[in-house]
This record gives sequence, C-alpha cells and structure tokens, in this order.
Amino acid sequence: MSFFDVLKISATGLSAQRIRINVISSNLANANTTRTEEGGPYKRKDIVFREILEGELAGGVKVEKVIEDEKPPVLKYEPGHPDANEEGYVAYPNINPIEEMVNMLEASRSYEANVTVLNTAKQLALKALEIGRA
Amino acid sequence: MNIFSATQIDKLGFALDVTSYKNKIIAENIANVDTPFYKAKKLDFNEVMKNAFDNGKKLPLYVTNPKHLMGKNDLISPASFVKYQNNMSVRNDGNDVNLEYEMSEMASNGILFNMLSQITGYEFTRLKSAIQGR
Repeated sequence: MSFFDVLKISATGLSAQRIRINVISSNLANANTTRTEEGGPYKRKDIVFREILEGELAGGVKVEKVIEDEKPPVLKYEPGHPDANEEGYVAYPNINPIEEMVNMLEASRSYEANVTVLNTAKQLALKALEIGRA
Repeated sequence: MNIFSATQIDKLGFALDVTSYKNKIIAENIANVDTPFYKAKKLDFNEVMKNAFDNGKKLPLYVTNPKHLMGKNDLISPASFVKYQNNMSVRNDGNDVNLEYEMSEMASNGILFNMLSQITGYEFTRLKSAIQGR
C-alpha cells in the first residue's frame, strides 16, 4: 500500500534531518571545547546521508555515518590558559558558527518539507477512505 | 456483464493507483533533498495513462489462436514508468532535487487524487441508485 510507504519515507526524512540538527547543535555547543576524551580540541562533526533503495525498506533516506571534519584547529595566543602549548597557543575547534547556522536553517526547511509530505499523504489516504461512503 | 468494468471505475481505480505511486516518488525526492549524488525521479501521469488505455496507438500482441494469452493492460505497473528528471542544475554535492518543483508537483498531484476519488465516489452513487431504482 503506497500511502503507508509514503508515511515511512517522510518519517525517514524527518529522523535524518533531526539527527543532522543534533549534530549541528553539538558542533555549536562545543565551539570552544578544548578538551575531549581523545585529547585535543573538539572536532567538528558532519553526517553523510544515503538513499534507501526500494526493497531495503520502502525507500527514503538514512544517515550513513557521522564523520569528523579534519580541518586543523584554530590557534589562539592565550598564555594563561591551562591547555596552552609551550609557545602559549591554545588549539580551538575550527567551527564557523555562521556555517552551522546556515546548515541548521537548511535542515529545518527540509524537515518542514517532509512534514508537509506526511500531512498530504495522510489527507489523501483519508480522502480515499471516503470513496463509496455517501 | 461485469457492472464494475462497464463503468469507468476500473480506469479510475488505476488512475488513483498512479497518483498515489507518484506521491511516493515525490516523497522519496523530498526525503533525499540533502543526499549527495541523489538524482530526482519523476512519474508522468499522462504517459502512464496513455500507455495503459490508449490501445489505438499501441501494437497489439500478435496471436495465432484466439485462446492465446493477450497482454492485459491492467497489469501495467506505474513503477516501470519512473524516470530520472535529469535536471540541468546539479548542485555541488551531485544532488539535483528541486524542492520548490517537488512541492508544487505534490500539491497538484494531491488535487488530482482528490478529484479522482470524488469521481469514483459519484460512480458508486450512480451504481447504487441504478440498483435501487430510485
């Protein structure tokens, strides 16, 4: 039944965009983090989407993996900072808040588009139920 | 005589199938709006309907005996008419989904579905009044 497939497809789109917003908010929250479990400053995270082919599920999209941005950290001269190196430079994550905000807007627009698809499919399915009622 | 094929109901049912399948294709495109290297798909409603019902233009299956199986039109699956849109404007990530176009396609497809389901409802009402004789 095609309508339930559409509902599943837009649900995959919604969850993929939500994961993306999660990653973006983690990037923004850690924009100044200099200590991580692996050591060194926080590395910017990004996610890779992949199309779900028909047969695996109904179709749709999924998050293939979360990748780390290997951009070099930004060095700031702060000799008083506990994480400063011998020359007095502190390595900060290379995160551009404007870039993150733009990505966040894009993700939220895509999320809204998927919500619209879901509502339309729901409305069409209910309309189909009305055939032969009267 | 089959009262259901005597009316337009079988054609309307097929058209409803096609529109709901098209809705699924659009949902897939919108879900994959941020997937790298995804290529937008399309389903032409008119093309499917023409191939399913316009017998005059299609070559009939050649048979040597009237008992041979004929190709049945209602076995056509809308899935075999799905094509790539081949949009000229491909983004840097290799994705060519045009969100505005997909949303407008979804709106017009939804209106078409509503129209078809209403007409199907009227057909059943007509049948009912013929049966009841009032």
